[in-house]
Amino acid sequence: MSGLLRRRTFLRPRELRGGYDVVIVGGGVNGLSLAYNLAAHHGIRDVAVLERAYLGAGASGRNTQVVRANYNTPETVPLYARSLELWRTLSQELDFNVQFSTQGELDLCHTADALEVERDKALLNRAFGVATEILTVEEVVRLQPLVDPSGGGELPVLGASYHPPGSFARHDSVVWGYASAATRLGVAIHEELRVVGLDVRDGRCRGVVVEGGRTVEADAVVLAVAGWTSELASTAGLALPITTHPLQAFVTEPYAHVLDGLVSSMDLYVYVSQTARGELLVGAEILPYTTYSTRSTFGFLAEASRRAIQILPFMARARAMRQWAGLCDMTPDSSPILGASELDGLYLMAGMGTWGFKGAPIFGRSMAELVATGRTPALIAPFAPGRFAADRMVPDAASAGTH
Amino acid sequence: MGHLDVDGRPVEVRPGDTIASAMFRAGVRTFTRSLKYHRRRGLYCLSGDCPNCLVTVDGVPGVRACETPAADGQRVRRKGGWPSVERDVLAVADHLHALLPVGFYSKTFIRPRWAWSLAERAIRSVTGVGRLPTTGPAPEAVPLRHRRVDVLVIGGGVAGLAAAAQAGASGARVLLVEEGRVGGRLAPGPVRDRVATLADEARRAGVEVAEGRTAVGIYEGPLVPVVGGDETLRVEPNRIVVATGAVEEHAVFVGNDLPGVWLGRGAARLAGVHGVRPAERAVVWARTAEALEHVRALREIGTEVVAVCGPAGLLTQLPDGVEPIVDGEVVRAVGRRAVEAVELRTPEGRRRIACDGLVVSLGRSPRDGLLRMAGDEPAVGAGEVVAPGCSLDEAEASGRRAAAGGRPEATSCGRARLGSDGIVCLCEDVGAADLDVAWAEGWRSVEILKRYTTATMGPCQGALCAPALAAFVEGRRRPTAAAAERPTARPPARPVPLAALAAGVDELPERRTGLHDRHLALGARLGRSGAWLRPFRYGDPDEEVRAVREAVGLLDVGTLGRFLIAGPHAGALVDRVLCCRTDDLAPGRSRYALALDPGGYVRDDGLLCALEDGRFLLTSTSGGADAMEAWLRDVADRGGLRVHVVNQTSWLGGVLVAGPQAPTLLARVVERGPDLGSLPPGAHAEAVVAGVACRALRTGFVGGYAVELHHRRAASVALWDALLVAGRDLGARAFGLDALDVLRLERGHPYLGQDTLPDDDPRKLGLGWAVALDKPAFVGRSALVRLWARPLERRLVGVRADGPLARGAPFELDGAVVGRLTSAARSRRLGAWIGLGWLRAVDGAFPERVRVAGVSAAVVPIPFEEAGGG
Amino acid sequence: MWHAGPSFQAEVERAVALKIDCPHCGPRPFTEFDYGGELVLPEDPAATLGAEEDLRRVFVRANVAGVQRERWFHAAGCRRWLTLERDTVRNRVVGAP
Repeated sequence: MSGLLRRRTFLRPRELRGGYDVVIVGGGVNGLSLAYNLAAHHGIRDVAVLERAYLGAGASGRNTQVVRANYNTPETVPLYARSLELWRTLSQELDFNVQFSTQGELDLCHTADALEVERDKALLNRAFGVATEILTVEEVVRLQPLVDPSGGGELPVLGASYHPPGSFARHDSVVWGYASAATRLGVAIHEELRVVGLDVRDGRCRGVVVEGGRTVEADAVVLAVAGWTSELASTAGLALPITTHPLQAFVTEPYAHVLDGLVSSMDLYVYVSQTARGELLVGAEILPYTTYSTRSTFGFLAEASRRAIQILPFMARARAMRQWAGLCDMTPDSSPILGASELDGLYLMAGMGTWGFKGAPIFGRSMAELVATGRTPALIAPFAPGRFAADRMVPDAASAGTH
Repeated sequence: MGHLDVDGRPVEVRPGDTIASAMFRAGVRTFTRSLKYHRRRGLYCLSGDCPNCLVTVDGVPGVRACETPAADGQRVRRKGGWPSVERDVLAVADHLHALLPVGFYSKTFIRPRWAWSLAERAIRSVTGVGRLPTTGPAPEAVPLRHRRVDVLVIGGGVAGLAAAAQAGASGARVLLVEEGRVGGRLAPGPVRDRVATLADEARRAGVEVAEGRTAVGIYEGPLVPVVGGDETLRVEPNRIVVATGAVEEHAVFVGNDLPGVWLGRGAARLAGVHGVRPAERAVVWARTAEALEHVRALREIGTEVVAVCGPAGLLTQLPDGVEPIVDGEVVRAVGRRAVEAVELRTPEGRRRIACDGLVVSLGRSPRDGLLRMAGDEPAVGAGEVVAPGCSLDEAEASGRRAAAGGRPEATSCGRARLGSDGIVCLCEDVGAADLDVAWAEGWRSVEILKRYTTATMGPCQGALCAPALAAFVEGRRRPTAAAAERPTARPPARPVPLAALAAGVDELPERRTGLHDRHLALGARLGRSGAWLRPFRYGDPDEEVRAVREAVGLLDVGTLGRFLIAGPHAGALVDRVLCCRTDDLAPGRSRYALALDPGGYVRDDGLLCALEDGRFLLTSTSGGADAMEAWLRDVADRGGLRVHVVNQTSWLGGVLVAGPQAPTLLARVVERGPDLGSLPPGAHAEAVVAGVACRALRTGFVGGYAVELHHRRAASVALWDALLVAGRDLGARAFGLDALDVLRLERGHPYLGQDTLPDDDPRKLGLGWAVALDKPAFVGRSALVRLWARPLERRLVGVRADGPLARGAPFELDGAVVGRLTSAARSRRLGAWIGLGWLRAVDGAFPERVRVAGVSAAVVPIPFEEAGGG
Repeated sequence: MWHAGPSFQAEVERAVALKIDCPHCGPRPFTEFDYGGELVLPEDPAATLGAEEDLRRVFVRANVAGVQRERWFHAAGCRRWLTLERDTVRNRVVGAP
């Protein structure tokens, strides 16, 4: 409780200067994580973060707050496992409570195929020291008595994968935590400042052009704009393997605590958790078509309600209170794009799909090392932008489709 | 009328009562405790816009007492407070504001690391509008109806009824939905009279009026789901008139949330509609002409209105005995359990007036969430939702204009009033001073202030407080701006039970083959494989494997994708879609074929069979059939090919007959056509088997002699029965997917999707032989040329081990992960564990041994062994 | 304060919002269709390309925020493909070329 009465200033408005060592486009969790890590771990404080709306306005404030490491490739599991380690002490590191809470993740399987995939995943996870185990139906019901093992009488549960380290953090708090820690270290954060293009001269990215035509120069420019990466990169003639898709979620009215952890269905593509505020949060799969519209659809609300009731029947009486949509920048292999682009001076933190939130601590930490030292940390080397041309994809759609 | 049970106490119900009116009449003043500070909250808006009357009714929390008709026997529980709402020791929080500052959870419980998990547990147990029941029968499924109308009118007030009547008179199909009952919230008076007149007019004009229905939102389409009345409507209107009215402005001053502080319409409603006195002695704070009607309604019910404060112009016509306080403003409502007095600032100085009610009517906030979420759907507002505070005539005219397709003039309702303190957000207990603190901490946008303070994020979704939050921000940022930017409006417009939302959503499709009943009769364990329900095993899968290896087994392959391809460009289509040679395939011959995607990666495999007349039959995997059809059609369409693709999957059955005794069995049952017992590899033929016309395909998936018999689905049972009967003495038996897994594994056949990665080209799978790179053009060719110019870095391999192999485990070499096991089984025939997996080259060479979950395994060529019997 | 929506004059155009005008079946809800992605050139997926061009064809997408030509498959209808133009920002079909 110490420091409660102390006046704090988390953000400070600053004048925009004509140049910085590093300009980060996008004031979401990844851009801010990078800014913080550059300042905290590499002494690079002449950093500007340019955000076109407000901090966390994009996917960072619209995701469903899940943190986990139960991925399904030898490249992704250690990456997210390391991120999870950073998450555990993030509140202390940032001196800001990001409301990190480990409650476990239960992934129900209603088909043999899904259960086999989960079994595979569990084995691979354990090989990297990540705790994931397979539960029988009896164990599922013991662990989470609210689950309907008959799947609404329609799709009986055959078993489940259980990932005890599965956690949540309040998404907005993470954004604010990084922003305030970066601000303390001297990073300049500018909200409501739209970057309209990249400044490319002599074959090198030399900065960005902001609304009104003003140029802000930088030795390194990092794009951390999620769904909008293609649009910005195209101003420098860069074409990327990215498509922008909608992902939706809704919350119910807040209720007294009833549900622990994340409960998901690998066959019904729905997942449910209860926030610290008491809202039941329901999410589903990413939609196959591309869009830049963040309008919610009733189709999602209806379908997700039905599926949620199917696995957790008590949900039938809950009242939906607010639904929203966010944009996910998807890649051909459902893994992030982290590294130097083919254009000198331009770096990409993109292809954030459904994993940008959980990866933010390690993405920012690793990209800071790359931008600061020019050396690519081994953990993110497999995720370089050039991997598609080199036929070295990291295909992980099986573990990245929903939460 | 009976009684309610309110926290164990009987409360009398009178005709027309809501739960709220019955409780208030019985003396209940504290309806709930607030979320954070456990402050007492009483009736306030009586229009479903505030959280002050949320109670638990018959176990269901979050019920708005003011909107819910009272019925005998209802069990009503007030939430919040320990041990009770009336005596709440947690209300000590109200005296500890300094310890519960805005952003409290951001600033506290940071150290030690476990502090938050402890704190969170405590917070979660007391949060929310109540406790959801987790036991007991599930609510009944809600039926869904689709409605198409010309005009949907949302809201049954003056403007909505006028719009509906006008549109109906012009011949349009009109549906009007009203949350409560039409006129149900109105006290006797000119508004109620006008509503009655217009309701008559609307009904005469053929308008369908649906009461007790709530519009969930306005979605793309436009689609307006409507819940209530024990059903869910999906209304698809051509256009929408939103006439949801306005709620009186929520004024922010110290003590503004005390029980006894009323929004004017709320007090008038209780008095005029329910005949209950909201207060004995009331002060009215007025800035609207409507306030004078409230004064009249209060006096009629016997409330003593001691004073009205407001601008001079308003106060000229006050009845005798009511003191006008010109330019007086309320600065504070005081009281312990409820209002006991108000403190005023007047030009003459401060005053304190004892009273038990403060009725506030300062302006209106449009109830315009639906309009704001409408995007560019064809929706217009009418009446107070666009012109808050407009007169009756204006509202009616506005509705009629909206019906005729006119657009209302945009009207500003000015900026909400903000005192130095007082509760801004009633749901979340956010005060004006909290906003000040958050602002000082650097949070500057409406959206961040909203999220940081959580103002507007409660069950009311900002119905009352969003204007106040917006006014705060605008006041700080652009003090001259009149209109304020409010937080985004998101559906649903009102909280809606999930059971109602889920109405009509289909069950997942489940597909069955023509042999489904036979599988059940044989005691098969059925399970889903994709959309298909398929037999996994009938008994011991080892015995099933043995039958196929030593006798004969039958597998239901009615799930395989089967496509007839015909037309002048049929040959061109298969030649482009498949990477093998196709032009040399004579009728009666078949070939294993891979379909690649443009990236050169394998998307599916199957058999290509050349038929007479330049037609082809192509099979695909069961799970890939739908995608294969779409892909065939896509390639044909984009290539401008004239071709028919007929997906025969759902009307063909299929039985695989496999094993050394298969030739004998088939020879017994063939009635017409070639000897199916000696069909050479790569051959197919038409034949009549046990009276069933079949196309017989020699296949190699399970090894040995195997023939697929494709036939009309309706004949599946006859064929299956005949085969089992004729093969009884040969040891014929059905086998399922578990046995198939071992059989195909012994042959080294990968399951696409399980043993393959999405970026596997044929070379990585050891299927380079199935590619005719010398063909000039096929899908994926350019990619293969590009990919195969690089050294092979990863490939599918077979592994063999003595110890058990755990599918999914990584291949390890000197502690480094170099691959992964994707299939594994113990092969009794081979007396060893075998598996498939992908392996990476290490320093340019593929390892010959790897460790798999601690077991040493040899990398071996596939197939592991040529299975005999063919 | 109020939503400044377009006038009713354009309602006929908007009535086809998120309905796809199938040349064979008429305007149908888009939920009957499967999305086939932005139209990649050359149209014929079997066309032979050099390595650089082929990499673009396989991986790169313009992913425009604006009008995009794209493919849809009428899965719950005639099972034919069509190419249309959709505004990805407003999520509206704006025309079929």
